[in-house]
Amino acid sequence: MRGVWLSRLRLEENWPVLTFVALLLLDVALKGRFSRFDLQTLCANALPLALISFGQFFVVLTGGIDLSLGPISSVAGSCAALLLARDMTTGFAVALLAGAAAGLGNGLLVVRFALPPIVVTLGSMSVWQGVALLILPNPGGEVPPELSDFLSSDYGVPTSLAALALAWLAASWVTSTRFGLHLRAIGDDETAARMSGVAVPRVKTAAYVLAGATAAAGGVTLAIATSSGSPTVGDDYILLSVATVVLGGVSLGGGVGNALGVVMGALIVTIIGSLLYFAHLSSFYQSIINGVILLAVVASPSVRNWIGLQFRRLRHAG
Amino acid sequence: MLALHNLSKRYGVTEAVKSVSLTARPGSVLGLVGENGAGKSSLIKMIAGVEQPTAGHVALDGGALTLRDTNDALRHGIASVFQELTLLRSLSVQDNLLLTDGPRHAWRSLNRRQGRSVAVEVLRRYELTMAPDAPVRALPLGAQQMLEVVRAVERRPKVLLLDEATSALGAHEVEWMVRLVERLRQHGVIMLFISHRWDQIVRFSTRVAIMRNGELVGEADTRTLSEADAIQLMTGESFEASFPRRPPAGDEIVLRARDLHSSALRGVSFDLRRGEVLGLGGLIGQGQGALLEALFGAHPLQSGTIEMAGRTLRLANPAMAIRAGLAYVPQDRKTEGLLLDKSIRVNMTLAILRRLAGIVGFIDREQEQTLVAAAIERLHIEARSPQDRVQTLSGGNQQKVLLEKWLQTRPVALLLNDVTRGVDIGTKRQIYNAIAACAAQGAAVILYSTDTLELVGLARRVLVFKEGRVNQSLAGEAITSQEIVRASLVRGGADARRVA
Repeated sequence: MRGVWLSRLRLEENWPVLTFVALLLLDVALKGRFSRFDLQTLCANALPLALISFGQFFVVLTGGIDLSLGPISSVAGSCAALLLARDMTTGFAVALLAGAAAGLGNGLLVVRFALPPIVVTLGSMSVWQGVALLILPNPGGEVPPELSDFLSSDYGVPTSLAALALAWLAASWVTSTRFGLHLRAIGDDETAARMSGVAVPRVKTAAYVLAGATAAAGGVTLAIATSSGSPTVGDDYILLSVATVVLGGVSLGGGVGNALGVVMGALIVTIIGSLLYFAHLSSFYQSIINGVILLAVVASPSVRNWIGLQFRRLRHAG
Repeated sequence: MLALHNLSKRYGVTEAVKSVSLTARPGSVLGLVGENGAGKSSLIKMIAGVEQPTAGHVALDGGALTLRDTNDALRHGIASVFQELTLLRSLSVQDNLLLTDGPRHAWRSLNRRQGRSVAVEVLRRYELTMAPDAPVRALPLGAQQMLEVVRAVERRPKVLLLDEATSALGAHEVEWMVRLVERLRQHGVIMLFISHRWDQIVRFSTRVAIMRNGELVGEADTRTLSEADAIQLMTGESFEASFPRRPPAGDEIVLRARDLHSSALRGVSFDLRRGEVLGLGGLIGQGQGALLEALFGAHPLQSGTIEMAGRTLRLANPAMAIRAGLAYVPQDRKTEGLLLDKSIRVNMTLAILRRLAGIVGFIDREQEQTLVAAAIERLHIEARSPQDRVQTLSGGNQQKVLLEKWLQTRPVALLLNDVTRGVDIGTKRQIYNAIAACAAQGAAVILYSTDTLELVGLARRVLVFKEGRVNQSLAGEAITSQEIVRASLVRGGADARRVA
């Protein structure tokens, strides 16, 4: 009987959602409460990570990886912190365009010169780290308080939750278009995709541009949330964004994954952080626990297959 | 009308195609036959836009075409299907169909339900029974080829090129293809197709063009040309010479399989004797491939035993199987058997490095070199040097390298999974000789083939599979094409439960 409800939960697909729900229950049980405010905080903390990870998601779908998204978000955040107070439209536009331009650079290098994405973005990661420090040598700048207030406000639904939901909808829309199908096709088999009529160079470049712009949106959100810019704030997200998409069930081999998984990945990482904070454990543990959970998730399909096979064998023998 | 005017292709010093001129009317189906290296594929690739001619040109409906790539050819109404599939293997059937059949607008969401109805409609129109949600990699090769053909046809081409694109089709699937070809003919589509299977040439084409050494050596009505005549034109040799003499089987049982069960097998039992070539037949995907993979430790068994030399084997992975003396040549050499980026030498000795290694583990290069040079000569592998990357070889030569890799291990039992698929008659003959030589030296061979003639020519016994069981076991004089086809269709054959 146990096998029946286990298979009904469809662990294979719903793994990220179930992990998140389990962690959320643990969180509620430990703290003994789950207020509107907790929900708002959780979403606000998860939002920048989710955005940067969506950027990572588009690139990983094509079978690539982008290590420069963290620093790109630093650059965008720094631009925003310098410009938003003067003129909001300019601030947002410059930040997002900077991200898109940085992504275009990655895309052109990967596509035109057929360089491995990991090498290209390792290089540009360093470049954008430097550029961020040139723009904003010290943390600071200014973000209009009304923006920060808006992000932490609650009009029946917490703004941060609405923003997260919106980001999810936007990302699912992108993956459901012909462009999204082409992203997955390239990730699965680039040659076959080209032979099937996919404009591989254009689609791949677009993936990096989109990733840069999305990561920039994440950087701007970070600046708004903290009311200031920091040239190194994105560094934490360089590998965290990769871990997040993997936690969300996206295959680093390319071609497999969905937007809901990425949101769940971001929420999982965030909730672990909040649990550790609650337990008064050092944030060093966050790194260890994130790593262990990541390995567990990556290993789980093969472990489950193995257990399933042993189970079937036993039943057959019996 | 499709016209080729003095089409030529030169690679370095070799002239692959020498000034071929040919015309095909709307509604005609032209079968292109010839040995490997005869220039068929090069010819097709120039029409498909994959290769550019060094001289001459392709004209469609009177206008000369300059084709930069396959997408360019598609815009001119020329669709092509090659043996190397262009399906996205981890995407679903539905997504694969949408890739070519989906909406033209890049940013309009492909509503899931809508996408599904498009896919279901396409599958229904082509009488395909596969589930839209199934990932392509889970489909048997024959079904994958059908899907690939459908994708090409869905582009509504004026010219359809099929280069070994129907090589894995089973009997039922060939019937399906015949109906499709007939339908396309009525719509005035011009079809050119390459196949090494004469039965398909006969069923599909109205005319046959025969190539040898880059030249067109003959063109005839399909009905007036016999296979024997065609082979004579292709090679200058006769058909009977294709198969080597079958070596006599020994009495010693080298492998005993009992009641094998798995997701694809439903109780398979048989004995394999020393020096025997045991054929596996039947429709595609009836468990033959799964059996070979199970014996090689690559397909998990739920129950049953495999014994070799009196000991029950535990075959949890290929390494264990190799140690027990089994060798497996897979169907898909590109993804399962060869390191395409590495040299012939590396590929050939990969499985026997332990034997070549000295005391401290350094590889004996001299011994390795002699060994590889001898193999290249013995199997007539066409390459400039043992250092050539396998990728640069033709399909037939790649197959020979793969076969040799395993022959080098001097296996007790050699498992062959449709190894001559898409290989020309000359190479086939060399592979047949290698198989016979291997058996003559005492190895047992299990040969699965979708080409029944091959089973007739090589095997002493044929186990005909149906739905994961041995439906019937044929031996000696009973092994004929008709008998194999009959045995693969009859319900619950007499041998279904017996040890074969």
